[in-house]
Amino acid sequence: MTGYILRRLLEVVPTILLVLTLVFFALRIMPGDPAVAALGEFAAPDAIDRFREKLGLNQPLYAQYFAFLAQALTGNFGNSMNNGAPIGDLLAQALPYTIALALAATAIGIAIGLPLGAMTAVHRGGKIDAFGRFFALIGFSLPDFYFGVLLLLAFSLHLDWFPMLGGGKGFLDQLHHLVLPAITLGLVMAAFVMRLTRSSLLEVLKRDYVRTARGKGVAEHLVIFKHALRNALIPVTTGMGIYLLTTLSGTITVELVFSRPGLGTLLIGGVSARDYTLVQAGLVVFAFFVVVVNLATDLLCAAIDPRIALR
Amino acid sequence: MNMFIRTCAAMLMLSTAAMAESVVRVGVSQRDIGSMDPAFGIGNGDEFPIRQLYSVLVGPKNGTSDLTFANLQGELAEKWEMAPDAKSFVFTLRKGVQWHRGYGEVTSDDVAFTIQRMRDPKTGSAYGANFREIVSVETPDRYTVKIVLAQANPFFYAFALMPRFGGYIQPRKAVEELGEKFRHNPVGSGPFEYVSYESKQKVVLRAFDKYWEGKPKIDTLEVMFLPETAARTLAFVKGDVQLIEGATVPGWLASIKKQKPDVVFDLGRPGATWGLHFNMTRKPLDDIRVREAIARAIDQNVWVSAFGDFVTPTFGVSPVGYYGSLDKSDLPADWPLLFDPAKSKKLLAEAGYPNGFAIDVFISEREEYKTELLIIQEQLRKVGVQLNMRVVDHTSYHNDIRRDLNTMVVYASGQPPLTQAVLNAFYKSSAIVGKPTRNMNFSHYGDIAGNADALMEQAFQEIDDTKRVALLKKVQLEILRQIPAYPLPSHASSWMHDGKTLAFGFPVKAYMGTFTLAKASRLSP
Amino acid sequence: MNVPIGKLTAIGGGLSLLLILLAAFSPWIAPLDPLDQSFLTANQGPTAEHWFGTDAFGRDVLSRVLFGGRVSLAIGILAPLLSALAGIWAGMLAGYLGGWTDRLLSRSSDLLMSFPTLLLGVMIAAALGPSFQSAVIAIAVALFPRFVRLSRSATQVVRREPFIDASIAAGRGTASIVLRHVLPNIAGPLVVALSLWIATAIRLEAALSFLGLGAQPPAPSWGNMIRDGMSDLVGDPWPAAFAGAAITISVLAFNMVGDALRDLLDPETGL
Repeated sequence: MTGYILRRLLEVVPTILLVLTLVFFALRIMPGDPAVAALGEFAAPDAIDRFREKLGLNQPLYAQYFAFLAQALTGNFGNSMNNGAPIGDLLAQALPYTIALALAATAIGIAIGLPLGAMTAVHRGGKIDAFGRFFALIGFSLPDFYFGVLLLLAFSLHLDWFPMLGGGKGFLDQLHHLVLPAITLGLVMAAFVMRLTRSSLLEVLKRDYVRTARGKGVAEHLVIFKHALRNALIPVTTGMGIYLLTTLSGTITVELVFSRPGLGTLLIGGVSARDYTLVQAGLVVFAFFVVVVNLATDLLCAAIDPRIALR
Repeated sequence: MNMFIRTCAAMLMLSTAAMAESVVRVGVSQRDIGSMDPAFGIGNGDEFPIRQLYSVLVGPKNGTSDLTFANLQGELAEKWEMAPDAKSFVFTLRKGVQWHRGYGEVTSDDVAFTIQRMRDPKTGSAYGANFREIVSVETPDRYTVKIVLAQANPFFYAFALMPRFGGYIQPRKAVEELGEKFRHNPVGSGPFEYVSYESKQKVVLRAFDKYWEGKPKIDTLEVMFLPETAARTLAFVKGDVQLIEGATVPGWLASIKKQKPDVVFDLGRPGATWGLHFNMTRKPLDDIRVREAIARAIDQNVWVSAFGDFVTPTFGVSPVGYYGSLDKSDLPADWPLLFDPAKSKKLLAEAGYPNGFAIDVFISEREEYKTELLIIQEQLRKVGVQLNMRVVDHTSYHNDIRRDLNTMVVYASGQPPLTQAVLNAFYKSSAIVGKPTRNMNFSHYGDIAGNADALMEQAFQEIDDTKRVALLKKVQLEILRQIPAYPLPSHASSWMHDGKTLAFGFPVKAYMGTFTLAKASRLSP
Repeated sequence: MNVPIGKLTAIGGGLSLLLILLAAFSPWIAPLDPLDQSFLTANQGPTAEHWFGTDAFGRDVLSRVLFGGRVSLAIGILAPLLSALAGIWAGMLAGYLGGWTDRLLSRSSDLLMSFPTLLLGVMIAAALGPSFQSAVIAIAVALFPRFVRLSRSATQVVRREPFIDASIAAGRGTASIVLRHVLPNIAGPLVVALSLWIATAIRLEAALSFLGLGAQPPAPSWGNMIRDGMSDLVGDPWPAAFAGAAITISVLAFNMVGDALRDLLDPETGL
């Protein structure tokens, strides 16, 4: 087990190296120049040359690449090309907002989606099922950022229950700022979890071993909770792992709507300013998240069903 | 007893609330601060805090755009003189003006240092070119600065010494001490000093108690980065921010007015220069009849009906209100840029396009650019000219238009309100895209369809005001007769504040980045 | 098969078909030219002349919603189909073969997934210019690893079933087993996923357009209608609201279709 985790963690290194390489070249293929973006329309060509020289952009591409790799491996991502702030500081300020939002949304998603999904599967065809499926359909059908805007209009502009801008200061204030964005993403997540739970539970309920258990006269709730739900959780966990990543991505628009200073807004701004250093570092952090989430998903699946070999 | 204590506590809280410091929040559309170093700050989001942090030698009177030398308002300078030949300027500094955070008094040495720093190619300032015509800076004493130019330029100060465009005086000691850190840890002599910066959120400034005009009434100024129009508008309507940058959306101003009757529009006029530049190296735009046909298909009144007060029709290369701009009355009767769709169709037929033609144009994703081209596209469609519009992101747009890749370039440029600035940027042959200089002459005028370089120089160096204006008008008529570009209506810079909670202390008719909030006050909590 | 298709699913199927038809025939159905500007009648709410009102340019919102459906539905359906085609196969191979194939495919899909969908869209749009094609590519690439992972994990479950071993023992080839035994057994969850991801894709298109990266003006899409409407949300909420409703309804419809298909494929768990 430990060996498995170690090996998976070691696999992180090539993944991230690949991400680094991909991002490095993808950014440089794009038309546009960080110097023009940073200096603006009045910049004379000599100022632009000076800027490029200062940031090493006049070096040959391979030299830039190796310099960047060497820096990145020591965990030093340098300064933002656009505004000179240390990348470490920018990320340290942005990350907590994004992580808090993704986790809060996931928590809401599981808290609502899992029980609702199980109930709808057990009572399929009944009123609860109809309600659950309707809920999931609605949750899944609203464009999340537009839903966020509606929440903002109702609960912030008109009712003034929640703040409108920023991420807040101090724990309670931050929590206060988190509510609306978390609900925006959380409800979509809940709809997803509910559907996934329902469909995989139904899938499992028709399997041979469930039939066998029923045939042996095992009590129905035991059949569901001991045999069925546990097996049904595997696709649910995988699906949620995948969806958590979608949610991380969804944080971008929601952050924009609620003006949260998170990773998404940082990266979007970075791409449009051709802030190579910032986007590179941000995507490495994101890649790291993805690897961790995937690893956690696989470990969870293994914990739920030991028959899944951890190779 | 208990009741009494509670009442006392409540009263105490009320009185502290009344004494609580006054905060003004400002919403800008920029995503984050670029730089608070005046050598590098660009765009509204940088310019606003920089204006509050630093002082200039002289500036236009609060809330106006008047650049006439005699009408200027002194900041660091209490006296200013131009030599009769317009080749040198002498400024006498106000005594006792302090830098923020104990960096001492503002002296002539700081002014000389600033100019040296700005023009030094090693600094790499975006505004460096504005200082290159300076031959020497003399500081005979602590409070006197003499600037000598290579050749006459009666409006030199408008490029190099005004708010925006790098004219802010910087402290030698702080810049040398802080080095790279200066951009995010600025030291100025303006009414507000730097407190803190939170990435993507805000820059916080506070009143400078030793400001030479007296401590500002507003204690804290928070510049918030709100790039989404929706968020910025909602925050303004709700009252979370008191002053915001507007949006270039048709009907937007009217709609804000409906939701917030107390809104005061701070429309800065004259606004930016907007133009549709025809790339005359491309077919069929190389044919003057085609260019005239396009010009004659465009009706500037459409903008007026879309944006109302916010736009003003333009007749010359620069917007009405710029120094030396053309007015409608200056135009001859046969002027080729006047709206006449019938003539447009006739010209197209003459040029061999009786059924019109299609042409590919790319445009920036930015709302204001897209909106502009959408309005043009719809008008040209009516005479049979089909603009196939491709949208690219803003950075690519700026990159690619400077590489001569576009057929027609929509360009918005914030210049000092001088026709000279516009001519220099867009119509000099040295500025033709691809040449190693300014890169904003997208039409290739100067190489194609005529050349007005000599006439322009003559106008720029003319010392007599009346003759200068006449020459500037003559140049414009000569250039535009060839239709290298179609001047689009000028959009006023649009900011707005909540009239109930914020007062500037004077009427605002200029761009927000040109005056300070030193006299502004917060009216109610 | 004797499958009772519920009322809900019939409505869903009908609705989806209706939406596709409306979009396909919008040039004949739309009351006005969706590009015609008229600033004198801009920002009007619904009226007798303009049932859905007009936008900031005075363009007819109903016509724009109809035309916008072409773009939004085309992107929403095309992108997931493309990525499903590639992703499901890759996932089945990974899940069935295991070992190095699995590791290679899983890690490369991890790699792709390391890019947040929207950021991937931003980068693709920056490189190719924001357009219909960029949106399709961005969404297809973004969904690809998700199909891989899902079909991989579903295949792993099926792989353990005794009938697979029986087939191997009977000497069947890998391709044949995957096609005849694995695919039908994992089709259920995949179809459900596809239905969800068509929904996701329509919403992604909206999100990309919200960031200004989807299909570009003057052609309307529901996403860029919301984006345009966002700038004057309180003053004239109608264009965004109608576009938002169009998105919501079509996503609803496709979800219902997904359910119907699921019930057809898998009658026992159906309603």
